[in-house]
Amino acid sequence: MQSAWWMAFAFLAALVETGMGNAGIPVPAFLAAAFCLFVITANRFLLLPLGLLGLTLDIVLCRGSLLTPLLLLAVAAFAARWRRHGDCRLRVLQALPGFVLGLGWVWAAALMENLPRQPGAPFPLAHVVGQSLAAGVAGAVALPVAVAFYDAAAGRLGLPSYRRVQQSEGGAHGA
Amino acid sequence: MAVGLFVAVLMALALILHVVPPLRSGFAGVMQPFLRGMQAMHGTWLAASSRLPATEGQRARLRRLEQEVDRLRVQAAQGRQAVEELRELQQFLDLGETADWRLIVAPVIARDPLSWSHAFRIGKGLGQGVRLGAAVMTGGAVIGRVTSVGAGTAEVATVFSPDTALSVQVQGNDAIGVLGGRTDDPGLCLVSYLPRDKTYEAGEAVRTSGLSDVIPGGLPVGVVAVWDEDRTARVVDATYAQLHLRPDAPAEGFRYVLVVSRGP
Repeated sequence: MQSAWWMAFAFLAALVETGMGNAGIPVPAFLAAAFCLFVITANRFLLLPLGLLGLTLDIVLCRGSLLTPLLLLAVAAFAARWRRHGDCRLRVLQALPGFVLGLGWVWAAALMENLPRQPGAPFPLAHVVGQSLAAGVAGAVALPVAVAFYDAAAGRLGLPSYRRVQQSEGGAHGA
Repeated sequence: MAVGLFVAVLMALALILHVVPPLRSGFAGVMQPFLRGMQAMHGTWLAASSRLPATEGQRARLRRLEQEVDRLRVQAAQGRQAVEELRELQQFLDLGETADWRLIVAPVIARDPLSWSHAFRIGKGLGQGVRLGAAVMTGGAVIGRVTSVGAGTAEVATVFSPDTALSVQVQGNDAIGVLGGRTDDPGLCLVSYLPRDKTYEAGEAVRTSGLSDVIPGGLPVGVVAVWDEDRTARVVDATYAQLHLRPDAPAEGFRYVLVVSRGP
């Protein structure tokens, strides 16, 4: 039940990312969902299904690199750090890791797509700076929304909550 | 140790799935029904958001007319190509087979916001007659070509992508080059491997060369743009030159494309 909900949540995020992408809006919805799940579970074996789903997303969006599966490793590490040292209770504070996710997403894409494709690279620097700021803002909105959506459903399904993850670990916050 | 091994296996698996074309196409097909559904919802939303009842009808009529214009332009290009072929073949007794082209209207179902004008996915594939390497048109001009095709979807690299590698001909001097790749100006793309001993004028039309088996000749692609203040082409080495091309096709804002694929 729990695993099915996690994967449905990640899949919905992938659909949102694709739908917003079709409208030209860069939203790191899948990475935000993955971050949310890694914070809640701290289970690295979640990398496998999320990696395959991320790979599917990359292929559907015609990306020429393994952007999302590779970024998931960094997101898992970032989530572990946020779980220990960040604040999961206040929803508005989740905008901060969301902004970082958006920035990292665009810069990683620029690095990975530009390197093997010179000359005629798809990402000029001005484009990358503009896109990363836009994606950062979008991420700052997407992560709190993802957390709110997850917690609303988790409360009804009796699953672990994002906001209470540090309480359930005996007050790890601030340690 | 165990986690490192797990990550290595995951990455190897991802790399294999990413690189092997049939697996890549198969994975793309997994999300196809959802993407088609989202596209239908988007169309419904557009229709619902219109205040005037006739607007959607007008939009549909405009779409039909644009598709008709695209079809007629392709037919005209085919006619021009046929005349040129006829002139060449009149010298011979044995005339070759005439190419038979199918025109397939396909919806754009996914685009990456990170490289918006670089590649996109269309909602038709092998099952509907789309072939690998086929030309893809919008706004009456070539926007790219099919670089990967699955059962129900296909991946299109645009003229701004180095993966396109489209053979084109400059109409003023019949010079042939290879189109594909972005320039510093986001509205221009690059034509390489042109003969350096020809003269190139800004505004000259560039069309598909017809040298490929999978793309008809004479399809409009764009016009020669100014390279810098005093020249239109850059000499690369003793043999080749490059020029910038302004595509006739819009880089964004289209929801349907026309795939020109060899029949039946």
